[in-house]
Amino acid sequence: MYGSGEGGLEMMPAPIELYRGQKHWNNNMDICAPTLRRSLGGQNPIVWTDTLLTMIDGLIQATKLGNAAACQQLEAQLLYSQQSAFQNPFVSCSYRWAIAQSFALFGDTPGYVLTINGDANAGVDMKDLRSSYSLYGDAVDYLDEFGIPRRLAHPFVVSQVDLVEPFGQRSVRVYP
Amino acid sequence: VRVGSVNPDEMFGYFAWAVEQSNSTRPVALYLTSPDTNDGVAVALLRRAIVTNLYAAPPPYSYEQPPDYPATNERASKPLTEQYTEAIGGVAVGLFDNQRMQFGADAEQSVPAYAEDVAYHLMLTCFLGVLDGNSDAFRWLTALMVRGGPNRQLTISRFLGLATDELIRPFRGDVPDSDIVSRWVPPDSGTVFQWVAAASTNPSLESVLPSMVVEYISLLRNIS
Repeated sequence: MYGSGEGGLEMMPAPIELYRGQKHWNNNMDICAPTLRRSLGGQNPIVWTDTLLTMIDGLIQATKLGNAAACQQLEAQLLYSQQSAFQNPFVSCSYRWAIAQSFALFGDTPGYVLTINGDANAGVDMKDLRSSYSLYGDAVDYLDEFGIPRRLAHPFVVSQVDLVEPFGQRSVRVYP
Repeated sequence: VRVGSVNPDEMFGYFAWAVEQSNSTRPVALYLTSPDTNDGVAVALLRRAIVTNLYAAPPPYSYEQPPDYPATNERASKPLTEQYTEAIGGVAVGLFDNQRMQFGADAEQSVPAYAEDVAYHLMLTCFLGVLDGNSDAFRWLTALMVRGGPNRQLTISRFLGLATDELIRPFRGDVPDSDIVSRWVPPDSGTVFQWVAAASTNPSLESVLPSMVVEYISLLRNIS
């Protein structure tokens, strides 16, 4: 799945640079999907995350094959995932620094913008998926979101971290 | 949301999303797909879904005072507003009174994930409420926006911007919708509270729900 299944391992890596805004950061932090931090009821978060990823991957594959029902369900699931943490098995990143910065500054307090390098084939490009299959995306489509499944790990690496402050103050490089 | 993808109008996209994905209106979405759909009936069904999910249940049935349809025992569950209030462990009045203290509260780990699910369906139902001119739905949307994470804030602020342009012309100057969406980032807290202030002045909304239902039915027939 996402780089290990059909068309996965054989594919050449497609380098991408992503940005992610978050409130806290340290060098040993496990940056993981919301479903691994927050589950509905008593599910095992790992099982629940894998279940969602399997379902979404299945929907993407079926959509690519032209299955209209899967396409409709994928559209609904993406909208739901982007509004509800317990439905989101991805580490959310953006192609745009400004988006990551606004997430980092949420609530008008300082935060961190992570610059992440990785492989475009190892995650889900929400905007590309939507535009390829004419899926409705409301305002969140403008977040230019890329989802890294489960957690930030190989082939994704944090290459730079900046501490950003609200009200136009200068950002400070804290890593490397 | 197939119909929402067909019509490029953003407001219509919100309408289609809400009708098709909200728990409260999914049966209506099914009804809309039938070949002999009546738009008047569809509007009435949508209004019932909006009202029964915004307001508290009517008193129990009594012979002296027969209830308005639907009776209490016909409800599938409590109104979404009540479910949400219970899920976040607060009271409805507090949601609108202490909003600065509640900024982004639903994104905290301490709030149960169940609250997010209810908030999602309530948000969609409130979109329909605002499209039907319901000012309580407008207020609930502002509460959901204040308490939401960045994604929810962006979605609701975009919707309110569109709704305001079309429906609340007197507030156009007060609501910085175009400023927010032109940057395409979630609004900052100052902007969110400007919205709340605008909403607290009880904007007069007009209903565009019937015309959207007619358009929806017509598009659906063209697709199929």
